[in-house]
Amino acid sequence: MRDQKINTLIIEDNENLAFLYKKSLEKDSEQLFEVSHAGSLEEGISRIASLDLSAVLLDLNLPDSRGLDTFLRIHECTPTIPVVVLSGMDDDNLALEAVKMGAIDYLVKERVDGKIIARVLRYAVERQRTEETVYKIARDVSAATGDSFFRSLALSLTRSLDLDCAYIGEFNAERSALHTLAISRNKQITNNIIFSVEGMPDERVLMESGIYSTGNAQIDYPKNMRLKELGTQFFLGVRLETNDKEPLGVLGMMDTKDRKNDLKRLQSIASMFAGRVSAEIQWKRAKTELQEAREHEINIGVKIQQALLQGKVPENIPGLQVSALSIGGEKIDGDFYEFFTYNPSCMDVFVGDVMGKGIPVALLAAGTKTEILRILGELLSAGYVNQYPGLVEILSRTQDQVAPKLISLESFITLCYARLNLQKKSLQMIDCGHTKTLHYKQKDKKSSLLEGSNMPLGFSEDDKFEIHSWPIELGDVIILYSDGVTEARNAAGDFFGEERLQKLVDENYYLHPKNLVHHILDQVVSFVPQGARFLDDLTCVVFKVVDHHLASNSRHVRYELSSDFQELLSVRRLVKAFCQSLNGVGLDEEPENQIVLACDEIFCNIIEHAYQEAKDKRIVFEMQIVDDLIQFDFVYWGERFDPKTVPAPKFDGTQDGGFGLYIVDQSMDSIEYSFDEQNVNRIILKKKIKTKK
Amino acid sequence: MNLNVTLEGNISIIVVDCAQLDVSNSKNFKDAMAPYVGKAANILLDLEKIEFCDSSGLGAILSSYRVLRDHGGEMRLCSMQSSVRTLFSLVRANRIFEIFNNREEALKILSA
Repeated sequence: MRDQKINTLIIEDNENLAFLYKKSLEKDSEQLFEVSHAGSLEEGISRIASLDLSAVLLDLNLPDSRGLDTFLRIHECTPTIPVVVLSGMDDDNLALEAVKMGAIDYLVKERVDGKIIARVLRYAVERQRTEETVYKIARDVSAATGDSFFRSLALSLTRSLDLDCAYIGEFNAERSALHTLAISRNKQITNNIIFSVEGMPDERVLMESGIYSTGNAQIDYPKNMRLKELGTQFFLGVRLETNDKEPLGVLGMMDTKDRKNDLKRLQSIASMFAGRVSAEIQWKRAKTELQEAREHEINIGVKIQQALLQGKVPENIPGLQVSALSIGGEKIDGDFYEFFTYNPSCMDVFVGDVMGKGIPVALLAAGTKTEILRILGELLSAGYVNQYPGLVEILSRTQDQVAPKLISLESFITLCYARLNLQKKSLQMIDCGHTKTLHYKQKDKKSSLLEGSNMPLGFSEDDKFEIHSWPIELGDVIILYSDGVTEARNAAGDFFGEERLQKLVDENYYLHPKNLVHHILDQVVSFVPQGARFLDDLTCVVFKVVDHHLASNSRHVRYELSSDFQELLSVRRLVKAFCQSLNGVGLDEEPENQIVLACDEIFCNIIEHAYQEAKDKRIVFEMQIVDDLIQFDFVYWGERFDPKTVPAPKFDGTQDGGFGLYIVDQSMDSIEYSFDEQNVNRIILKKKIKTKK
Repeated sequence: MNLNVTLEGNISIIVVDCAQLDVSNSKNFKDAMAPYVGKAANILLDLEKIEFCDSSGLGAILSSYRVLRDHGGEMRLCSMQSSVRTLFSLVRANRIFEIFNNREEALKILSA
C-alpha cells in the first residue's frame, strides 16, 4: 500500500474512549490516520455520507441502536468500506456474528490499545484495497485468453498498481532465455524483448521468485534486463510454474520508485495472477504442441499418400498417354489409385475412396490397395498366362477380403476398377458406387459419363459384380477421379459438378494428360473461394488413347494433340506405326526414318515458331494414304509460319541449329503451306511410297 | 542426363545413356558434356542407346563438338542406330565427324 491516508470514522458513544482511540491513531508512527468521531448511529450514518472514508471503527451498543442491528445498518450504508467492530468482554459471540456478516474484524474494548487498533485498521484497509485492485484487474482480463490475456494483464497491472512496468516472460525450452509474452511500460504495451538468462551470474535467480530493491537489494536480476539503466528502484519477480513446480517463466513488476513498503500487497496480487498466467502459458504450449502434432499428422498423411496410396504412373505404354495427380486436402483422406500393366496393350487401373478422414482411413485405403494388388498377383500366378484375370473375380476376391473388415469398422469404399484393352479397343469397368468415369470421344467431339451398377465395398458381403464395357478409339480421353473434384464448392455453395468437369474436358481434350490433369485440378482449386478450407483430397487420373490401331479408318488417321514437346514421343510412335502398317507390310527402314524425322521436325517448329512454346494450344494431325502417296497434315492456329521461308543451313560445323526444315525438305517429296482467313495454318507433307516387297 | 564415361588409352568413350535425343533433353546433353569438352580431349561419342535423334539433338552434339574443337580436342562418333544414321546423312554430318560402325572398329583404327 502506498502512503495513502486512512480516513477513519469512530462511532462510539463513550466520549472518553473515542478520544483515546483518536489520539492513539493520530499518534501512529506512520501518521496515516485522519480520524473523525460520531457519538450515535444516526450521526455516524450522516458522517459516512459526507466523508471519503477508508474504515469505520464501530461500537455495537449505541444510544440509538444495539447489537447486530448497529453493524447491519452501517454495513448497509457502506458495503465496500471495512468495518471493525468493538465489543465488550461479555458480548464476544455477538462480535463474532458481526464478522460472519461482513465485519472485517472485531476488537474487545478491554483488551485493545492504540497500536492494536492502528494495526487492525491498517490491515483491514490494505485488504480492502487489495481486493478492489484484484477485482479490477480480474475484470480487465476476464474476457481475454492467450496473447491478449498476457497483454491486458501487463497493462492492467501497471495501471491498477501505478507501476512503471509489468512484465510477463516465458522461458525457452532450454531455459536459457526469457521470451517476453507481454511488457507494459509507462502504462502502454511496448515491443517484446528477449532476455538472455544463460551465462549470467544471476542465471539461477529467474528460476526463483525474488525482489530487487535498491534500498534493500535482495537479488540482482539479469544485467541485460537493464534494471539499473532503466532507473529501476524496485523489481518484484514471481516465479511462474507448473503444478509439478517446473519453472515456466516470470511475472515481474518494476518501478522507478522504491515500492518496498507496498511489497506485501504487490506480492500477493502478483501471486494471485501467477496461477492464471501459468495456466495460460501451459495452454499456449499445449496448443502449440497440438498444432505441431496436427502438422506431424498431416506430414505422415502426405507421406502415406505418396508412398502407399498413389500408384506409379506407367510410362512405357506406346498406345496410351497416362497421368495422375492427387492434391491432399486439409485432413488426410482415403483416396487411392494404382495401375497394373499386363503388356503394352492392356492395363488395369483402379481409383478408390475410403469414407472418412484421418490416418486410420489412409491406412485402410493403403491396405485395400495392397490387397487388390496381392489378389492380382495371386490370380496371375494361378495360371492366367495367356489371358487376363477376370474383373469379376478380382472384385469378388477383394470383396471377400475387404468387405467384412469394412463392415466391422462401419466404413466403406467406393471403387472404380477399369481395364483398358487396346487390342480389343475396349474399356471395361466395374463401378462400386464411385464417381462416374468421364469418357471424351474424339469421334463425337464430346464427353459422356460412364456409370456402373455395384454398391460400394463394405455395404454387403455378397454383391454380384457386373462388368460394363465401352469401345475406345484413337484420341479418346478417359478420366477417373474422386468426389473431391466434383464436390468442391464455390462461395455460393454450388458444387463444381460433373457438368463443369465435362465442359472443361470438352474444351481441353487435346492437351497432353500431364497438362490436362493439372488444368482440371487448377480449375477446381480456383473454383473454391480463396482461403476456404479444402477438406477433401482431389484425385484425378487421365488416359489418352494414342494407338493408331484404334483409329476407325486405318488409311486415314486423325488425331488432336497439344503444343507440348511431351507429345513428340506419341507423334513419332503414331507415325512409325502408321508407316509399318501400310499394306500390311510397311515401308523400308530409310524412308520410314525420314518420315518420322520430318513429322518430328514440323511438330517442333509449330510449337516453337507458331505457338512460342505455349503448351496448351491445339494441333490437329492427320495421316493418310492417297494413291501411292503418304500424306501428313498439320493444322494449327498460331502465328503465321511458312516453313519454306526459312533459309538453308550451312554444313561447315559453324552452325548448331536451323537444320530442321532442311531435314524435312530432304526427307519428303513436297511441303505445302497454306494460311486462310480464319487464321488456320496448314502444312502438308507428302512422300511417294513403295511398300516392302 | 547420364553419360557413362570410360577411358581407353587416351580416348574418352562417352556413352549417352538415353533412348531419345530431342528438344526435350538436348540442353541437358550439352550441360552434361560441358566438363568433357572444355579441354583438349580425344572423345569417342558412343550413340548405341539412342533410338531417335532430331535436329535439336544433332545441334547439341555439334555445339559440344565446336567447344571441344576450340580447346584443341577431337570428337568421333560410333554405333549409330539406323534412324540416327538417316539424320546424319541427311545433313551431311559425315563431312564434319568421323563416324564408325561400332566401338571396336573405332578403337582399332584410332589406337593404330
